[in-house]
Amino acid sequence: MDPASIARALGGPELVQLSIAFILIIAFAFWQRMEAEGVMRGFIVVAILALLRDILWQFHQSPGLYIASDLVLLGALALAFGLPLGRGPFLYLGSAVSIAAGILAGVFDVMGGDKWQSALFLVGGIPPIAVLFFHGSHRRDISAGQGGRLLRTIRLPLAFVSLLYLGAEAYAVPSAAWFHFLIVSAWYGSIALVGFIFVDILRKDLVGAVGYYEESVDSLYDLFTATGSVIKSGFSLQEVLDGLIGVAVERTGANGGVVLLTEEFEEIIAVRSLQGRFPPPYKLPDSLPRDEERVTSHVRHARFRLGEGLFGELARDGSSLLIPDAANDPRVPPNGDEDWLRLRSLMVAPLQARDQVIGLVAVARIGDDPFSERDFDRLKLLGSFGAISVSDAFTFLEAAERGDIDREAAIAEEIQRTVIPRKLPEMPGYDLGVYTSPARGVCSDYYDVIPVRGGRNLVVFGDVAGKGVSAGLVMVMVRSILHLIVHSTKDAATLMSWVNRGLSGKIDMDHFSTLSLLFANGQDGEMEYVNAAHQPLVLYRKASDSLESVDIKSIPIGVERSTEYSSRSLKLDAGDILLLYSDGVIEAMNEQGRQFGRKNLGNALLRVRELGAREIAESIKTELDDFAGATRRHDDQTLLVIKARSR
Amino acid sequence: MELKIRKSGENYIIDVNGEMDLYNSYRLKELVMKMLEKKVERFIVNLEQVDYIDSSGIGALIYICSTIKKMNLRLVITNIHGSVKKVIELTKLMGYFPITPTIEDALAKLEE
Amino acid sequence: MKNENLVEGVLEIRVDENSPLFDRAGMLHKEFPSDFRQIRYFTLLIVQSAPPEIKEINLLEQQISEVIKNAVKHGNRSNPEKKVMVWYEFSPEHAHLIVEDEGQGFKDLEKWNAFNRNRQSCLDKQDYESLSEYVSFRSATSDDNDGGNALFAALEYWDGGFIFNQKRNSVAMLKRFPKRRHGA
Repeated sequence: MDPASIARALGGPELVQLSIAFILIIAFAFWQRMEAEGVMRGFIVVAILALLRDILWQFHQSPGLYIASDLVLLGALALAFGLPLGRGPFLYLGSAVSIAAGILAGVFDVMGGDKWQSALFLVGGIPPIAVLFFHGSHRRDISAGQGGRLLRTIRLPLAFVSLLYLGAEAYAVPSAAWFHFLIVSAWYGSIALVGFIFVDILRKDLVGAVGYYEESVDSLYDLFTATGSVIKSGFSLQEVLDGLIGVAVERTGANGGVVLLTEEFEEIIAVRSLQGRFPPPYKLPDSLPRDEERVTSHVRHARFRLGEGLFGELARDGSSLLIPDAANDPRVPPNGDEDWLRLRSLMVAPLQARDQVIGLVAVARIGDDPFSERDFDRLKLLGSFGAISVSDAFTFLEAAERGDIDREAAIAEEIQRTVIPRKLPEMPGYDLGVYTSPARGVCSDYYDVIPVRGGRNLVVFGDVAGKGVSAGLVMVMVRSILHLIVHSTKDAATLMSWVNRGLSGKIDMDHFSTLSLLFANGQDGEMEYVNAAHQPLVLYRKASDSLESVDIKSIPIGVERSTEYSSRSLKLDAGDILLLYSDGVIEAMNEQGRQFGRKNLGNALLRVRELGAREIAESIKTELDDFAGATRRHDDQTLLVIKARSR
Repeated sequence: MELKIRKSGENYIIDVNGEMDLYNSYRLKELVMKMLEKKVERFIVNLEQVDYIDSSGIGALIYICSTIKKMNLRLVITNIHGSVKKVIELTKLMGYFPITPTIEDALAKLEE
Repeated sequence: MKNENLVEGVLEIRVDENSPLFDRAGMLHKEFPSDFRQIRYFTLLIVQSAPPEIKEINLLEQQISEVIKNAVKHGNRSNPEKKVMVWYEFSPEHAHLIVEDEGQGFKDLEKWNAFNRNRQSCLDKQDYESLSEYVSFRSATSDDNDGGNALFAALEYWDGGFIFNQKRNSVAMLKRFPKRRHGA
């Protein structure tokens, strides 16, 4: 470029136009991630071609060449916006004629001749406008996606703008300055405006849909926590202990007393209930202030090793003790001169159930009267009956706990049974086979095949990591979200991020799931695969008679709300076989402690590759069961076989 | 995990709902620190709706307990049950924490 | 049954490369990247194969999650390139795990044992004033989110032993589930 043309460029509108085109390309490229039907790609192509046209204009300011490149641009625009609305000869022909006419006119212009130009402009200009006006107008089926419907509404304004533009161009011949200042800039503006409106509608649609799905998930959660939670009983161990010491203190005429219980997990006996005034019969730390509240609190939390100290020894031996005159007994150390600290008399009886010491009951007197032998007998009697109540309380609590666990497991298994389809639907072009064996109390594997409008099918396969009912809940949520959004014509990766959003961080517990989604796009073997940390697919290729492993590295759903998932496409030819399987299959263990492994799974498949999908699933199950023998199954085992039919 | 604050006289009850684990326990610390800045003096931490706690959760309880003790303000932890109780027992901190069985007991203890 | 970690009346973390607890024969095995975000997920994958009666409403899960967290965070410094390997085996009577990381090993083991001894003596004296100095163990890799109390509970819980290998990057543990002291 010579200095004069640089100066001209700086003084004219071209530099601004170039920048606008450049900014539009970047903006459109950024927004392209928001939609899955390629509409935004059309905007990008148009903006790139406009940029090229304006660069070309800077080098070679021939009006003929400008018009010629506009024809190419218009043809491309018609094609780019027409494609998402359906294919057809009208679309291809219209766009091709205009692109060809544009290229031809450009070549003539560069060679210096201007014959045929007007005719070429006419031939090239009309078809793309016609395409924009008419292509797709008769297709009103609902299977067109959100983007397609939007596109149909912006089609007419686009055609009008293009027609006006072409008219102005033919009238002005593009060397006129007003054409560049006014018309070209207005054209850029309208493309940008249409693009922005499109993005705005998309965004509103996305936000609305996600909000709706999240609400649905929340309501499901409420429903299940309300119906699934275990009924709380009013029973409490503490009430039993408080009742026991209350009676013991009253019936022995004591000033106060304590119940101590052995700890379930430690060699320790600890105070569990305190009533009245109980001067501690053990040495208090010197550092502890002799303040009644502090000492009482100390007693309330006192713990002793079995076999150590007064209480420790009595608990170890299961023996009882009467100390009538505590003030002069070496077994009871003095703790201070305060009235409430001076122990007059002490009695201790063991709580014994079936030869096991489960605790002690101890009562104390402060005043002048010591305990008598009769008081002592009374306490021992209360102790032996009290022990039965306390032991029953433990039995009851344990049974309740065990019952909770069993009940939870049963609810979870019931949910799993409901969520997994009883019978797989027909999937045109493919042959399906499945087997699933649940392990007791696990409830992790989940699969589904969801028919989608337009002849597509979504295959779902997941392994939930959760506990009891909450694992079942995760399955219900995943299933509900997928069934809600599967018809939205979003791609598999978008579906996966929506499921993840619905599951992550909203609810008051952690729950996770691996998930594989496979979209079978009709019968031609085309598939779209997205994975959230599930086991890689095992793929048998008939053409090469060999196995492949297909995987996308990622993290499970439920870990992080903002996780982005990416998809990849797969093509199955006739006779190709795809295996989806859970951890439980390849981690099944035999009696020698060896795991089944993916290699064995692949070999098992190779041996039966000629059979139908259902028979393949059956024979792999048999092989797996033979391998495992009598070993305990520790995880659900599920295998889904997809075999491509010949077409 | 959800944290909700309600008031009973001068006492602030923090209801913890959900699992106190390594990903969220810091939030209880932050909340208590904020309340201390706002001159709250009496706290009850209600763990009735907590069925899971790990060392980070215990750590958060230790932190708020020692901070409140140092400032000579008052705290009671209440409704400890199930595995939360077992974890605190394993850590042998049942005597270290100011614990009551119910909210009513906690309120009474704060009034002492 | 004697607790393997009991030394002169106090529980200690021990190092014993030749402990039978390191025998991996017949154990299930899983490997994970050291992704801090996924610690509870990995734990669930392991604990879901335990029989329901030993899960004790989340206690087993919590104890396993602490050991995996230590391996991910303090062992592998949350470096996702490094793996955590877990061998595990459950029955209604026991839980046996080996958790191994690719880190430098637990360097502060002796320091921890000394700390725990002081803590234990405060507990024995029921001296809760001094105990507040010993409620949380800090190492070079600790941060505000570490409770610093996981191993105290671990030693109590894993009553059949909690033992490191010579390199101290692998820890084997055993929990027995005997008939309960109380109840039927």
